[in-house]
Amino acid sequence: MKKTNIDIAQIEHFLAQQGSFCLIDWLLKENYLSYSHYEAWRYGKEVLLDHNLSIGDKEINNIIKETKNACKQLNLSSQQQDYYTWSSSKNNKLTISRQQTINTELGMQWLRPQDLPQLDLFMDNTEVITENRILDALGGRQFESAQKALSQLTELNPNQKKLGEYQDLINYGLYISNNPTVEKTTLSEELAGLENEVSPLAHTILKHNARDYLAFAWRRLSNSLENQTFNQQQPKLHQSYMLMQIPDWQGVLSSLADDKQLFTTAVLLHRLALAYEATKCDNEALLIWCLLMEMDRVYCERIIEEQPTPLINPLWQDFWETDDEEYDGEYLGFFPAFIFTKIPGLIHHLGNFPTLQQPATLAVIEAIKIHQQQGDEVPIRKKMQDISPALLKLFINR
Amino acid sequence: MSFLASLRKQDSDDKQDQQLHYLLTIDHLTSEMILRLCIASQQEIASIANKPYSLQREHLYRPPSFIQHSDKKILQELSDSRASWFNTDKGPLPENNTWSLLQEIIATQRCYLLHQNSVIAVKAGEPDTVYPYWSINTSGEYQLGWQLQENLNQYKLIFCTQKPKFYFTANDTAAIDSIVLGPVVFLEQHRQTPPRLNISVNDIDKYIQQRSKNWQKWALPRPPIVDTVVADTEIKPLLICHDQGTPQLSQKNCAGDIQLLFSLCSDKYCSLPQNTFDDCIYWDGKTLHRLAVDNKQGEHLKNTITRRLSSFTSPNNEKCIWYIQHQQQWQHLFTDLYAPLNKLNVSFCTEAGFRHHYAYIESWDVRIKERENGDLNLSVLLQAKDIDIELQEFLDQLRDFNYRSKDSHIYLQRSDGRLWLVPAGDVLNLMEELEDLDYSQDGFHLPHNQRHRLADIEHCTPASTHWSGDTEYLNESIELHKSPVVLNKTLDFIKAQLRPYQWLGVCWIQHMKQHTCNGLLADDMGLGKTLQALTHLAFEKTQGNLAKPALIVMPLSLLHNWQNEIKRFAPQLSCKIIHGSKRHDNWTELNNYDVLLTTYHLVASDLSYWNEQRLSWLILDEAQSIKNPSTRYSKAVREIPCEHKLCLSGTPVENHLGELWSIISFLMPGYLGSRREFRDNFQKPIEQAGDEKQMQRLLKRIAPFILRRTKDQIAKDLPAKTEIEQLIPLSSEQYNFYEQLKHETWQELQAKINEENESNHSIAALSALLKLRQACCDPGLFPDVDLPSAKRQYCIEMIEELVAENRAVLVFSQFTQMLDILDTSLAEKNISTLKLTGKTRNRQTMVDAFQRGEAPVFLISLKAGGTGLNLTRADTVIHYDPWWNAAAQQQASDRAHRIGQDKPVFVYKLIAENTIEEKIAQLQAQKMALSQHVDNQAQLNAETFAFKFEELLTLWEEDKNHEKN
Repeated sequence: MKKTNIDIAQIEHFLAQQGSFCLIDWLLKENYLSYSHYEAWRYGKEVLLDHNLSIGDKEINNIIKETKNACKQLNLSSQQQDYYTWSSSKNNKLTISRQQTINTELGMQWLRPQDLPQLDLFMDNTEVITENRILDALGGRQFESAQKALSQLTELNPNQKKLGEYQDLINYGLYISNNPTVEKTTLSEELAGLENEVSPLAHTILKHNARDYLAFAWRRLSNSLENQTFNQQQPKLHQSYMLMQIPDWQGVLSSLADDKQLFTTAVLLHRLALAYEATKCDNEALLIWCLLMEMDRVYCERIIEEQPTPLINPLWQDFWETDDEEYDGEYLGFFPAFIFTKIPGLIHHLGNFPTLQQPATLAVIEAIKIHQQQGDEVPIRKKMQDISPALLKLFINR
Repeated sequence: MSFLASLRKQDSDDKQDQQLHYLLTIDHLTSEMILRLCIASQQEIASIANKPYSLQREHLYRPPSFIQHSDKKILQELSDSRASWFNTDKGPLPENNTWSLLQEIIATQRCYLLHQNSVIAVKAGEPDTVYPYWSINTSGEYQLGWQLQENLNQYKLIFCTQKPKFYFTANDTAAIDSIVLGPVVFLEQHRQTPPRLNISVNDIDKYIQQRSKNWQKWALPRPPIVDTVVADTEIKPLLICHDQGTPQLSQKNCAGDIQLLFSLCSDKYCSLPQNTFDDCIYWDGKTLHRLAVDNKQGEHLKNTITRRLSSFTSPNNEKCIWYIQHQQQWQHLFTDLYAPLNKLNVSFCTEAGFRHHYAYIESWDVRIKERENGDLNLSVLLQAKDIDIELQEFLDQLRDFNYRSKDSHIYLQRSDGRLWLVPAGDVLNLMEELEDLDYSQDGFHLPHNQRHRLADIEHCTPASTHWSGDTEYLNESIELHKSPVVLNKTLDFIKAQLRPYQWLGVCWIQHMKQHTCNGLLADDMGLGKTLQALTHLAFEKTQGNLAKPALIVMPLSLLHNWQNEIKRFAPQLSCKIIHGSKRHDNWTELNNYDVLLTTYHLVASDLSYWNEQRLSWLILDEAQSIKNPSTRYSKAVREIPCEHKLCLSGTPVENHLGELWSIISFLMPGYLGSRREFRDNFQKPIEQAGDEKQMQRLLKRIAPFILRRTKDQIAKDLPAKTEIEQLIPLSSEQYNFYEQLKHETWQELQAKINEENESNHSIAALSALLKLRQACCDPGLFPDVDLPSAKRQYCIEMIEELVAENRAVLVFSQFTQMLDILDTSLAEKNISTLKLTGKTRNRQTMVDAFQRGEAPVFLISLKAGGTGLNLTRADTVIHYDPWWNAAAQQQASDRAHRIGQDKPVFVYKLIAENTIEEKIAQLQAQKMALSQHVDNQAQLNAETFAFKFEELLTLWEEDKNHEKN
């Protein structure tokens, strides 16, 4: 696990994305808090939130301190944000922590001064308040309340341009509430509806509330796919895909672990790599990338190029820095070997996963082991030379 | 269908509370049907007209719940027909496909008709048949019409299928009816609308006969038979005015034409205008009337009128048409020729949009009406040709004239095209006066606090203007504008010989009071504003009007001056100074005093006390202190309740006109409008655009409330020389410095008296006193002392005021260093000076420069200025410090006041209060009493007028005693 810290850039990113920054959102994004725990807390199934944080009090206090400093530097203003249960009957105020500081600071919302809510004769009118109620209700999965608020908004101003959009989101919310399970025959259709229509609309309309609104929908599809093995023809119709969208990375790991096709399917391995990276298990993630590269070099190259992650992308860029133009297409296959040269400690995690097969990778692993044991590296270097002079160069220049 | 759309469809099956409704209205002018979109619940149907819905483009893509599937199609068709349907709630139905769209709308069962504020549900009806019938029009012609079935008890919206034209008759229910017209109405023209047969009564039999073969087949009824009577008839000449020229007569550069036609009129009917005198027929519903006249009589009338119009060019006299070549001819026709043609019973007919109907304004009428809130409505009515028009109708046009029309008359054009010719001077003057007032259809709104403007407004209207309504306010305003009545001058209540202008000032304050107004006495400095105010208060007391105390607010430096003046001139007025930390003690006893004196700063601190204190008068001395309305004490004085107010200021405007507004708004709140209004109406035009006219208007408006006399204006009333002793209290810092110095110098003096021989005692005393006098003048005269000088500050402010009055000022001091300091301070205020000290060699050059007016201030040291200078240009002398030798001081003053001086001279002696200077001045006064018996030259030299050592010691002792007190 890496050292936990937070910086100004991350906070600015949140500000740009959703207009405000809150540590709970950051913890969720960084997976120090799993969405399933957060969800359970919001449903009132968990009394406290901080029990489920994957970092200790010391670290969390350190993060709080760093956050306060960074927000101060950005001249942000703060306001306490209360959390209420997602319950259709009664909304109870939730407690984040028994420790006063953590309870206060984790729920603190940081905003640019101009974005601070203020009593404004023009903005604080009934229409705006009603619209905010709709947004809150949708984020809080209170679809009937949202429908009531929408009726009020319609009465207040039938010319409001977003009425139809709100209605669609409410319709969908009510629909999934009333139909908690999805028939297998309609799964594809439901997924397309959610992915292509509901999700873009929710992000446009609900902004940061979209996370909680959509999580409910993705969870429903995920539940309907329980025990369903991976189907190559419909790669998205797998629990892991649905949970990735929430994102519930622990759930993704669990769902993948249960699938026998995991280590034979590039798509699943990719999801596994992402889940490990999100859960800060970088070594595991890198080993999976290696497995993936061995399994399907072309696919792996494509997804790294198209969806670079903070973990793999720097290694990928460095790897290509070593590329001499005279090397042939086989050079791509040395990427796992390159990873080991850069992070030799990976060899200690090899036992957790299927064995790597590529001679180049194996040669480098062996060379690292000999080097660590201060053995004679000549034979293995010769072996690497035989495989490819480029491979030996990679090892020597590590 | 998309996933969300399918959910939407499921949802739309549910009964929605709010629904889209279609409301039809008929535009009765165009007979056009207008569709309005509304959102309402079923319970709100009766008021759906108040719940408009503007079609949103986004709603077509993602419909809200109130837009059902059927609605979406209709709305799509509407928006396809006309893009302007977006963001609007109403519009005409599309021209194409109207009927099918209307059917769709009705099919929603949410279509209504708005008729006479009732909302009626619209249902589709079955195609119906129409029946033909005969009628007679007013010209006595038979016409064939059609109608729906008889005894129709349901009025219908009838939609003619072949031509998109709507007809509407109303009742409690309505329906859309698609009419399939029966063959009977296609008689000859095959049109679905009634054929325009118009068969003359005389021809009807022949008409039927010619069609007898088909008559039965057509199933037409027979036309009714009617009687004819001959009516008494007269000729009514009409002059038809076209402003573009009739097409057949169009001529280049023609401004229009006029055409003479005639109508034949009975008591009930007039024929259409024609240029012949042929008979005509009229049907009144029962009988046919025939109108007929003698042709010769008609021709005679035509010739007479034609002669009157001979100044116009006619292309053809026979047709009685004349060209109007230019605008002036229209004016000539409607003004000069109007009365003679009117005598010949000629009526002028103009087409819609005719815009040359000139008329002179015959009379003016201003009606004053008091509103409930006390404001006045001024309705300015201009009368012409028995028509009253309200001036405010023409404000925009008048503004276009920019109030600077050089023409003798300007014309005001009404929306109906008539042009009223109004004397430019009258109306533009009046408009300038009314420019800042709000107006509505009730006229101009004169706020109650601006009622006194009525006299100015009256002054701007023609002398013959008739004033009506609540005219007492006008009379009151006129009275206020008159000069004050000079009261009998029984001045036993004031111990002073008032100059005539001063007594006039007192009478003016009374005049203000009588008219419940408050005024600003703005006489030049030195003309006795304080004395006039005191005389007024003393007069009030004799009249028994000072039961409640008068509060006078002033700068701190004037507190004791006022107290002294009261003691001196009106000792019968009991007076109390409200100052110091114990001022709130015995506050309840304030009612026992006639006059209360306090400062601006304290009045703000004590506002809560003053709010509880009943006051007869609130007088502000140096009222320019409230020139900034935002300051704390400026706000405070405005809040103090009192019966009357008076302001005293020699310089009511020091920097900008906003300061004047501040003072006037204290005296007469609202009289000059709000601060912003004043800025827009007066301050900006005057200060930024140099609008002299607006300046005059402002002066005129405030004139009744300001009495200002300059020294020049009342020179003949003034004595040749006026001496004013001005006591100036030192600031606490300066006073402490003075006291400290006094203590130290006394110690030194005592030591010297004990040690040195007697001949040096006097010099030692003088030397010690010199230090004290310097401390009074300015602590800056001492090295390394940096303290403010109350006297210097006062002197500089005074000089600023005098320079603003265009005075020429001599400033005398015994200390040349003091003159240097003053010189520097005046330079900072951009006041140029000349300086004459013992060191000055080119004395005459300096004197000449001053006499030529090169600088308003001449700083002169005692020794330099004492003799041989002729400074007759100066009219003000300031003795910055009292001289030992009163006679020498006197002579210095006379540098200004001497033969050749043609102006009254004011001499100010600045004396630091409660200091050695005050004692010196007293000693001087005693010596001056002697001087009246001694020759001038003797005074300057004689020992009598020199101070002796004993006298100097006495000064110390008195000063010490004063300290103890």
